[in-house]
Amino acid sequence: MNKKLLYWAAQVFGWTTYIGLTIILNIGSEELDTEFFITMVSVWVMGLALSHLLRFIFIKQGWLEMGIFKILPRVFLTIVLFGIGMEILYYLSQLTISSEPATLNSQQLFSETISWSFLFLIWSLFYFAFHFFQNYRKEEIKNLKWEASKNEIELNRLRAQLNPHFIFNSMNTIRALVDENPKKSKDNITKLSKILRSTLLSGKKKVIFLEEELSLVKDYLDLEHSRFEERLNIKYNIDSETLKLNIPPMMLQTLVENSIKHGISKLPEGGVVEISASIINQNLSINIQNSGKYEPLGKNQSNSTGFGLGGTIKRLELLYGTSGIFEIYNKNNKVITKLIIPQTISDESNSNNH
Amino acid sequence: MKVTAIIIDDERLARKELRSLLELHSVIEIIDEAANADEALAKIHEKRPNLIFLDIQMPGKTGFDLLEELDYIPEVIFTTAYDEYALKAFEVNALDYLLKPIEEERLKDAIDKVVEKIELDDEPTSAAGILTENDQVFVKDGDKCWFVTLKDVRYFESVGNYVKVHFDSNRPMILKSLNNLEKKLDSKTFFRANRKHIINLRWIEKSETWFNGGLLVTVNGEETIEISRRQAAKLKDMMSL
Repeated sequence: MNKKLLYWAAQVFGWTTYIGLTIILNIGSEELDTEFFITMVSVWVMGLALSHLLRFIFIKQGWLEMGIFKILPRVFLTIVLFGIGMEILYYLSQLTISSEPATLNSQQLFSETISWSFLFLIWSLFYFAFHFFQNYRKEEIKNLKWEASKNEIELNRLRAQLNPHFIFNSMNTIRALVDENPKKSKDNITKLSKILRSTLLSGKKKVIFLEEELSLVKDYLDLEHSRFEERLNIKYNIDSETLKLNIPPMMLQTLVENSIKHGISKLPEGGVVEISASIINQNLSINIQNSGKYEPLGKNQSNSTGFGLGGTIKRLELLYGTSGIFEIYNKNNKVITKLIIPQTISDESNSNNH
Repeated sequence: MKVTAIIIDDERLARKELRSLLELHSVIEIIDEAANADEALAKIHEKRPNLIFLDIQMPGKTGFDLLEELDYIPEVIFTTAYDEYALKAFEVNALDYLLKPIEEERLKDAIDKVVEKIELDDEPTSAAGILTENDQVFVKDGDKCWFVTLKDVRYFESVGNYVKVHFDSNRPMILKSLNNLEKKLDSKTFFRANRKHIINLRWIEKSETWFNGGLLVTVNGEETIEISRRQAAKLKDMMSL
């Protein structure tokens, strides 16, 4: 929309309406002659010119950005001055137009000044009202856009987290394996590469097949097994029907990482991580059990480098609203993590990928 | 000269890797390894190494927990995969840490520094259990940590169940009793002034007689500590020798 055009259209329309109304109100009186029409045209021109000057002042003085209490006295004073200015112009124009000799009636001058000022007041009200309305809408649109991009960034951030602790420890393990078991060290390099690759690419998709996520998790757990050796025992219990179900990328990975970070790695004698997947009510249901103890708001959460559970909950909410479910609790010296993922979101790029 | 060292890390392969890196440094003699803090505590107590390589993140107790429990603190080189932030706790002391995987150059620098430091501390460590003024202690108060060499400590002050350690401009609290501390400190340097204070005799600047045959000693300009009558007699005795 062209704001300038709109402004001029409103200006012309407004002043023409004013003149039109004045003429209609004067129908029947004997003043309705050529002189009167010429006066009206001159008022039209002067009003348009002065109000345009008024707008120029509003903009140049920056009053549009001021608070209401700062604007009011300034605008009031200006309007009165403009009223006086208009009255002077009007009086001068009457001197040239009118055939009758001009009289200087102070009461008439005063009342005319007041009415001109009143006219400019109405003009200003319209001008400011429109301006504020526009601003408000702009602000609202800006807010909405900002909110949307914030969510987008947040989602990407939540996806692309990989625990640096894990990466560097794995590298260190690989270094040691080069001497001890060259074959295994090669395998581990490949696995670490695969993990890094999926982390980098995961930002591009909303959901992936569970089997893709599981292959990442397996690589990850193999690497952790190289680190923790006999301290880490892994069990899988995956219903084969779940393999083609959708899951947001890195979601299971993050939870498994958590179970190692806050579970097994805290236990000198180690423990077990068991991952189960099944279909419940057409949703994907995932269950992780690990040795250890879940401590809500524990000391360890505050200085943790990963983002952990809060991120998972946030992500589920952003993607599925209230229908995605996440639970974590302690049971028989184990931490149980439950995840229910609705199958409402699918990624079109998924099917082209195979 | 050989520097005896113990490697403390919960991962076998990490210990092995460090061991193989240390093969190049004949000055370091690895006398043992430990896979967790409790194991390390016993081994350090028993073998009294000059140096420990200490992983910070370990199951059960962390490297810091271990240091807090030690009476005898060897030189420490921290090894860590990522916790540089944890080491920021150390404000005053220059201390060394290695990031895993360990760079050979960095390892060499760290070892050179430690060897130099150990050679400087020419005074031999005293009999087991007694801390001399050249020994260092690990002090942790809230988020801050210090390695304090005992000769820098002006005095220990008992506050409830805690002991305040006065050194430089710091006075962190440690959870120990003054009586236990007294037993571990070298009595040639550290003197029980009264019920609440143990002072480092080398920091005394002047002493004046006080009520009841006691003494009032001045430490570090304006800090004054009263020495009880009984202890004053003991101190005069010691000094006259």
